[in-house]
Amino acid sequence: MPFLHLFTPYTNADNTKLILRVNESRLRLFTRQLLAEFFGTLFVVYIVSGSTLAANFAVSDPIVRVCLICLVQGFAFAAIIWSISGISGCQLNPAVTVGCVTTGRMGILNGIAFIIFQCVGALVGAGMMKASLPTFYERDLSATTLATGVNVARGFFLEMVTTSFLVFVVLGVAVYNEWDPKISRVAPLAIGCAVIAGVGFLNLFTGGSLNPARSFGPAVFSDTWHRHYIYWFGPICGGIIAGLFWRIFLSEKVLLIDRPYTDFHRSTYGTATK
Amino acid sequence: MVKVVPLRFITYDPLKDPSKMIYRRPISKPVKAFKGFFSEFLGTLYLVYFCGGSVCAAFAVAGDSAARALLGGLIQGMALAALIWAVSGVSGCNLNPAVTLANLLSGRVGLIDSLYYVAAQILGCIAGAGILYGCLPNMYRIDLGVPHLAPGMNTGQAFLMEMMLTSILCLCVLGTSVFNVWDRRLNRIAPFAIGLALFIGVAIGFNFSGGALNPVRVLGPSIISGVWSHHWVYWLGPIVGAILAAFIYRCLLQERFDVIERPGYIAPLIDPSTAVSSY
Repeated sequence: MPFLHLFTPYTNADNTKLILRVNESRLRLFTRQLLAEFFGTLFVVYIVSGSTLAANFAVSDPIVRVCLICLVQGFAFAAIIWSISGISGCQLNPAVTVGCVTTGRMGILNGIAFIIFQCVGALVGAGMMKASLPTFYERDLSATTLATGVNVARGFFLEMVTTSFLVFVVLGVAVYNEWDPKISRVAPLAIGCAVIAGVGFLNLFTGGSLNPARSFGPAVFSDTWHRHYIYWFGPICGGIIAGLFWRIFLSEKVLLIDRPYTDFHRSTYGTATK
Repeated sequence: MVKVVPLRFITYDPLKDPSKMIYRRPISKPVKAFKGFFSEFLGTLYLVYFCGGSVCAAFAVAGDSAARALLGGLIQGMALAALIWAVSGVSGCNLNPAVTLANLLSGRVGLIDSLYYVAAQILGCIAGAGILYGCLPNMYRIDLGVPHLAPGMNTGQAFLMEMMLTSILCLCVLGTSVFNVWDRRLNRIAPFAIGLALFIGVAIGFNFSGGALNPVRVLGPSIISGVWSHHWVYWLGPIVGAILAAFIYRCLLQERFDVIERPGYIAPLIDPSTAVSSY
């Protein structure tokens, strides 16, 4: 029966059985990747908006607020990336996608599709947060704005440099990891650490975006568009800078060769067997 | 001639292609040296940017001094952990002359390597402090985060505090990524341990001695901002702390091991001439 597997319990405790990952069609794989980006960004934007609204719930020390915000955001990124990193690489950030495209490890069309789904996920996530709170708590849905004294140029450069750091870390642990591919098991923790550092530093100056989708969703639902372009151009320039650093200076040139033995089975997904 | 891959329109992942495999070519010495130099430069640039920036962020608004220490330590520790993860495959990723000295004394880094690593770190700290200076407006610069001694702290006490905190950091570096023959896979999670060591060190020292734990973290902001008070404390303390940590680990705690030929090892039959592209 076509849907019988939905009602059959799954267990891998049977020693006579072996899990064989079947080859997946390109269309289905691409669909799963886009859905992973959509749902991942949805939940990330929800948590990111919620962290700032929770920090501003009542009168409290502004430094403690920043600690709460950056810890919640960093660990949210780590948890969500861990949960779906096996599907799409789970970038959740148009700046990271631009960085991956710059390195050549991701196609341009794939990148455009990823960014579209990330923005749609950000919209839905911000809408969910708006619907989750009464009006007097939702304020501006934590849309990012520049602090007093920070002008457009400085805001742009702060976002650019800090996002280049984040994309630099993502590319180092998740893309250019030929020296130890298993480090990708712990890559989400590295990305979470980078988000904690970046958001903690920038929160009081530019709102700590590092992510155009994160700024786009709350901006739409709170109608806060003042200097919004900084949060697109800054992170994207940062992603390009980090991608160029890795591609030109730091990447290890590895060769792509034919496997030494040729009687592999093409039906096995990503694994050659004799 | 291996063709370099340009930008693609559609993603291609060789790990999902069963007919291909990735072959790592040996890296020539000059290229390896340049990559090490550049990764130390870039890593130190980002580290100084975040160390100085964390202090500027902590003092940007009126706030609790304990919360300031928490925020400063958190940003610096997490930034260091992320950076070590990012570039540990390219160089040894010292980002700190004290850690480089500990690695030198433990035999992990050679003398010439350590000298140009420190040179890269000095250049990187100046660039990082300059970028931080350019990014922050006047009212938020706060001497670019140069650490200060608390009122009542004398230089001897500050020296001792910096020495002890840096010893903890270097012990963490040596224990998790240098002398880890009992489980080499600890290398994958070692950056987080090192970041935690920096976090606790900065959190404790933040309000007393400034919690530098890194000479170049002070040198860059000092050069750009011109504040040099008690500068020698932040060089001598970490250096003595690194020597102490290297002595503790190498002479007292290190496990003896031998390096032998792997029995039964057969080199794989790989023909690089069949390579169609770099990836």
